Formats: sequence, C-alpha cells, structure tokens
Amino acid sequence: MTIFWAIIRHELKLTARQPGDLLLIVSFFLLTTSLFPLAVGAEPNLLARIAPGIIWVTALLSVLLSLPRLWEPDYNDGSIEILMLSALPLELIVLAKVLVHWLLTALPLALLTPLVAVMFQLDIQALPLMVGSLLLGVAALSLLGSIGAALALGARSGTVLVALISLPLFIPILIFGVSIADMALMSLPSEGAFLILAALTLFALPVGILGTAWALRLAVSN
Amino acid sequence: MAIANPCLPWLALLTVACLIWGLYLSLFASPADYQQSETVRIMYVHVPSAWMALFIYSVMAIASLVAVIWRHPLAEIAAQASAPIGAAFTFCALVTGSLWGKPMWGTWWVWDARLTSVLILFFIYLAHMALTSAFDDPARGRRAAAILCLVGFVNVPIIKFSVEWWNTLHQPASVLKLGGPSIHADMLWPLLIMALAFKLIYLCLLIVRMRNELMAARVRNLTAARARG
Amino acid sequence: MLKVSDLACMRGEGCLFSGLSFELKEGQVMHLVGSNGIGKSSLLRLLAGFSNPLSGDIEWQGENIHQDLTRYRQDLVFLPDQAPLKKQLCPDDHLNFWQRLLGFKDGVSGDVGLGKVSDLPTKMLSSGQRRRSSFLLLTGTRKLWLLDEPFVGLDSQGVEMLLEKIEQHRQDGGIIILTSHIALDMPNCTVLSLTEFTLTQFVVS
Repeated sequence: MTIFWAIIRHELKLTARQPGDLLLIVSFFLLTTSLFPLAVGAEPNLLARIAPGIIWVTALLSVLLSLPRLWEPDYNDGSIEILMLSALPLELIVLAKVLVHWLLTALPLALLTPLVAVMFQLDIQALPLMVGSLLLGVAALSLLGSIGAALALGARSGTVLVALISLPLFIPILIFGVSIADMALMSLPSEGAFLILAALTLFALPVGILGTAWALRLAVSN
Repeated sequence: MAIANPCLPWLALLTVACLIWGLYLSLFASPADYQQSETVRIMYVHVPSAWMALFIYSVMAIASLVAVIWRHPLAEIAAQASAPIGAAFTFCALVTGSLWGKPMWGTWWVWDARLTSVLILFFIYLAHMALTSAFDDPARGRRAAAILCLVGFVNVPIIKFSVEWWNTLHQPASVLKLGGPSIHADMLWPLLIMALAFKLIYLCLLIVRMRNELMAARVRNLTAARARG
Repeated sequence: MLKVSDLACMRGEGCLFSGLSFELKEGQVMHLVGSNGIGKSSLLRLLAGFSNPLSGDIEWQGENIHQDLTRYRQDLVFLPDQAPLKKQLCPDDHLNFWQRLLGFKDGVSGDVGLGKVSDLPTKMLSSGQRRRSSFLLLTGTRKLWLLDEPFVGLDSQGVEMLLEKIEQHRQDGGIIILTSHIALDMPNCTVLSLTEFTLTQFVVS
C-alpha cells in the first residue's frame, strides 16, 4: 500500500512541477466549447438544448488529448521498467496512474462545467447531474483510454492511433453521460441512466486495468 | 498451412460454384417481394455481408485469444489477415444497406440503431488495421492488435446495447421494420447459399492472405539477417 | 544463483541467438560483449523477465523466473541504457521515490558523486550527471544487477566510482551482468560473447 501511495504522490509531484500540462487541457476545454456558439449560432434555446452534448463531446476530446501523456513519457524514458521492478503488481500500478490521471482531468473539467453551463444558458437544475456524470464518466474514459494509450506505445503516429482506438470504446460512455443531463432537462427521471453509467464505469475498471497491464507488458517486451 | 495450401484450388472452385449458384437463385430464381419488388434482391448481398461482419470479428477474437494465451504466431497472423476482409464485408453491408435504404426509407442514411452499430464495428475494424500496421516490428503490431481485438470484443455488446438505448430515446420507432415476421423458403434458400458462398470467399481470401503474410515475414527475416551481417 | 539453459531469443520475427547456457553464482560478474544489434540488450531484457524467451529457461535460486515474476523482480535492479529520469525532478526526488517504490531500506547512502547538483532538476544536468543519477537505483540491497551500457557518458572518475560500486556489490555477494564496450579489469569476471550463439533462422510458422 505504501508503494501505491508513493506512486500517486510521485505522479502528483510530476504535475505540480510542470503545471502547464494541466492548463493546456483546461484551455482546450474552454476554447473548444466556445467554438460551438460561433458555429451553430447563439440562439439561447438551441444552446441550452445542445449544451450537455457539447460539454460531453469536448470533455471527451480533452481526455483524448491528455491520454498520450499517460504512458508515453514513462515508456520513452524507461521509467516503466523501473515501476515494474517494484513489489506492487502491475495492475495496481496501472490503477494508481489512472487514478491520478482521472483526478487531474475530471476535476478541472468538473470545476469548469458550471462556467460553460452559464455561457450556454443551461438549466441550473441539470447542472449537478451534469457535473456528477462527468466525474463518473471521465473515470471510465480514463480507464478505457489508458488501454489505447498503452497499446499505441512505440507506434508511429501514436496520437492519432490513440484516438482511433479509444473513440469507439468511448461511445457508450458518451451516450449515457449525455442522456443523464438530457433527461434532467426534459424533466424525466435520470436515475436509470446514471446507474447504467455507474455500471459502465465499474465494468471499465477491470477491462481498463487488465487491458492496460497486458499492453504494457507487451510494450516492454522488445 | 501445409494442409491448407493444396486445398486452396478446390476451395476456390467450390466458392465460385457456390457463388454462381447463389447469385442465380437470388437474382433470377427467387420471387420479388410483394412490397419491395425487385429491390429485395439487395438483401441477398446485404444480409450475408452483415453476418460476415460479425462472424469475422468473432473469428478474430478467438484467434486473438489463442494468440494471447498460447502465443501462437499463426493465430496472430490469422487475426491480422482477417481484419481487412472483415472490414470489406462491413463496408459492403453499409453500402448495400444504404442503397437499399434509399428506395425503402427514402434516404441514404438513417441513424438507426442497427446501422449505427455496424458503422461503429467498421470503425473498430479500422482501428484494428491501423494498430496492426503502426509498428516497425510487425510481430509487435499483431500482438497489440490482438489485445485490442479482445477489448473490442467485450465492448461490442455494450456498444450495441447503448446505441439501441440511445436510438429509442431519440427516434422512437420511426424506422420501417423490414422483412416481416417470417421469411419465405423461396427467399431463405438463396440467402443461405449466398451466406455459404461468402463464408467460402472469406476462407479462400484468408488462406491467400495468411500465405502472403508468412512469405512477407520470411522476406523481412532474410533482410534483417543481412542487416546483422 | 542465476542459471540460464539453452536460451533462444527472438526479436521481431527473427531469432537473435540460441543455445545460450550459463550459470552465475554469488559474487560473480558477467560482461556481455558483441557487436551492435547482436542482442545484448535483448538478453538483459530477457533476464529481467520483460520479454519471453523463444525457448529455454531462466532460473533464479532454482525457480523459473516466470513462475512468480513479481517476486523475482524484487531481487533485481535493471538499469536501462538511458537514465530513467523525469526532467522536472531532481536526483534527490528520484532517490526518495525509488526508495519507496523498490523498498530500499532507509539510511542507505545515495552518494553517487553528484554533490551540490543533487537538488537541481534533471533537465539542468549534463548527460554524465544524469547517468550518475540513475546509479541511485543501485543503492538498495537487491542482489541481481542488470546494467545496460552503464559506462556511457561517464567521466573517468565516474567510471572509477561505478567500478567500485560493482566491486563492492560483488564482494557483498551480488551478481552483476552488464554490457559495455570498454574492457573491464576485475576479479571473478566472465566475458560472454554472443557472437558464437547467433543464428539466422525463420521463426514464424
């Protein structure tokens, strides 16, 4: 357990010493969401209706953008081999790293969502659900995306490849994530969708951890 | 592979025979639908293609499982060789579906649950092919693709389920249901023959592609040996 | 004790070497030599359990290393050919993290001759200093050291220091396998040339 926390602290320290990376995602999220009114028109009713979808798609793209940084630096500088020398099973090392990744993407996105929601005239009663679904859904995105990031290690054009691999896996999360807020907007009960999103996240936990561990073992094997 | 090679010419012959028979049955011998008239004949290409799209992905998943567990190189190559064939059948299913949709629904494309999930399956095939070919070391690409194939395989039912859920939320039953409750034997037989023909096409292409890949690996190996001096 | 029997190694689709057997006891050093691309690094990665041999066995203390890889790795330090450092962290940070990660006992001196620069971020260090920082991995009590080109980038004092470290570890009953293009003059050191084991053979199918 000490090793688990040591990895988490190490990862947090890495980001703390280089906070620019965090800012990058945050700015991307804000900038991309503000493109939509410019493209589809600033009609308040329209914006309020499509706001959950826009926030979710942009959050998804932000996660995608941050994924190459999850494993690639460790792979390139050989840290991954050092991590694998520890007494902690690789699966738990993956869990620690993904946990930090989730913390450092989901939290900023969730904090910014109220701001974007105001800009889109989103109904205030849908906001808590929107933030909650993001926190939950981004965990699943981190887990599933981690597989793609690990599989693309050592490949040519890794970034595009990560997107190509991860996006089909992201689709269910997107569908249920958006529909939670959508249903709240239509004053329909959204517990069902929320539970399904939670189930998907729970399912993504073993798949993401085992898939990533497999992919990492493959990546160091040559 | 030693058994497969001598079989190939016979298999090819059987495939052609089966295909001609199936095409004759479906294009000339079978009746036109009372509602859809002649356009129903698209079904004889469309439905077997869609079946093949799923069938080949399942074959790839099994091959990948064998590759991951027993590290069998032939299984990896089988999965690699299958992917483009599967993608082609999936594309064929999408295109024929679209062509069929125009006279039936009046539009080339609808975001109907089935079409959308087949489209996503097509994307997964593309990702698989891209990953296979993204490495300088082909063996590495094949192994990475095997992991992706398995991860995709457990996700396909979930994607299908979520797309259907999404569809009922957004488009409640706007799409015409096709085929009706049962299909007449005059139409079923050509369909089954065509499905068999498509399976045989797959088998032939698979053997040829695997043979190609093995030869390419041999060439790469000889080149690598020369680089080592 | 490390025992390797009839080992064959694959890289990509081809075979690098085969029929490799050797045995190393406590207090022995093995120096791997051979021209570029012959498979020295690949052998080290095989020995660290990162890749699987095409055939043959690697046994540590009488047990195949793939039986319980996590346990075997706890007796092992693997030093990659490039220093596994993070640009924004200083050598002290690295030592701190590695001590926790690899379960090194506290209080082991991490003196690798970095002196005053040990609290500067890695991005400000020279390649020789980075190489020295990576030797902080060698501060624990893990028995088996696998060092991939550890002498690259070091000045003469650095080489001297590493040689001392290796000799000390050897006397403490450690086993060291390293690759290097410089000739090593130390007791109990076997030189293994991979050239004799190379083989060009088609493996796939």
